[in-house]
Amino acid sequence: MRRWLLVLLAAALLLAAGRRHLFHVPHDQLTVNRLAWNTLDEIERDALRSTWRRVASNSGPDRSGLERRMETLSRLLVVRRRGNDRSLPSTELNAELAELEQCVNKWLPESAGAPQSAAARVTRRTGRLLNLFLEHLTDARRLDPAERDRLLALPYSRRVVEGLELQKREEIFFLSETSGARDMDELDRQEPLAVVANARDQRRRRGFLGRAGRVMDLSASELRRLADVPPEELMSTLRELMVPKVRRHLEHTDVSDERIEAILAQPYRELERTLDALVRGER
Amino acid sequence: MDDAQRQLLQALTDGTLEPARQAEADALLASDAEAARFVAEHRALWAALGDAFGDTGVRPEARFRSAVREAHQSQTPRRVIPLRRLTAAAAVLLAALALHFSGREEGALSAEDHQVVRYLHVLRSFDVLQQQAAALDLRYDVEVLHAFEGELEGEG
Repeated sequence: MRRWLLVLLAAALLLAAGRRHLFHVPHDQLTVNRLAWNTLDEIERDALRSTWRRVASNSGPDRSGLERRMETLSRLLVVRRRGNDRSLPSTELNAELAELEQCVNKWLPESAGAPQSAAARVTRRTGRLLNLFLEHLTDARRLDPAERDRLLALPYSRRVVEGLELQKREEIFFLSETSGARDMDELDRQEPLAVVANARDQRRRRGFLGRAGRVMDLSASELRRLADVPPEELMSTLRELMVPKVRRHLEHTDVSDERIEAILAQPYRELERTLDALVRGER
Repeated sequence: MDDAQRQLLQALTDGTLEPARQAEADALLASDAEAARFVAEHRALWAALGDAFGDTGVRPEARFRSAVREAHQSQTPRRVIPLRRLTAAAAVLLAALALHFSGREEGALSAEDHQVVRYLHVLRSFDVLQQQAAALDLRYDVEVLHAFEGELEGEG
């Protein structure tokens, strides 16, 4: 009896080691943090400990909001570091965040009806896109109709959380065409929005993900154009660049002209899914 | 990372690096993420081992160790291991794994400092988080929107 108690104790220790974190921090960032920690003096360390205690002791209603903001800020900082910008002064970060509202106002202008905040306009558009995503996934037989109905019946915030998990799964499926096993493990550990950001980044460099990305390349000038395009124009620019390539590719197959036109009329992500299935079928 | 750089980092983690080469090692760590990861993993491993067994400061010479192991194996008769010992071994293995995984990222730190190091990059910019709460919420909303882009006709 005593020996099984020993095993149970050790197993509990193993589970405790895998304690819950607020959010995933990439391995490279953890290394940078550790090295930065080693350069701090005790006064600076105490200041950081004090800030952490404020986070950890926050049990108020805004706790989930605080955690989400920390996660968002973390993604922003990690992306900046990857761009060889190792430190980002507060003033610069403040300016970048302040510009976002102006950008949204330009991108999604207020309609003639009752005035809506930038956040409300973004949420409204997201709800529409998310519902279309679920419909398209069902059409592509990658989501069960009953599961689609369940998701569509959820309150918006819950639907977003589950929709993001689904999108993470989809993006990992498409990224698996070009990523190694180690990268896939790292992607699997990441938060959905980090995986999605990674996939968008890959589309900037490849045009399509999945098998379609293997048969259609981008020229150096097209890559330069994609590198400079603002996030809100990425999909329309990708479409503009890739549709002629898709047309040329399909004209060399036995797909009928009528079907080609129907495929090319699809939204970009639908087009990507259709081409992936077609290229798989060609093999 | 080439062999010379690997040897340089090995010396750094072993504590045998000549002081004159410290700057070279620091520069490599600052510029090469793979090098930084290599050093962090070695330090975490040694820290975990130190926690579990105490650091004697002794590093057995490899040939000596393998010679001893061979001699021991040739002299020890094969025997059936009792279940009680197998159970104890399983427990020790699980405990060692737990120690390894709990310490692999931040080495021998207190539980609180583990968390501080993990989120250090965010905690350092905590003033921004407080001043720009609404902007960060909007950024999150925009990221979610981008996540589902490309599903609408005429959008892309």
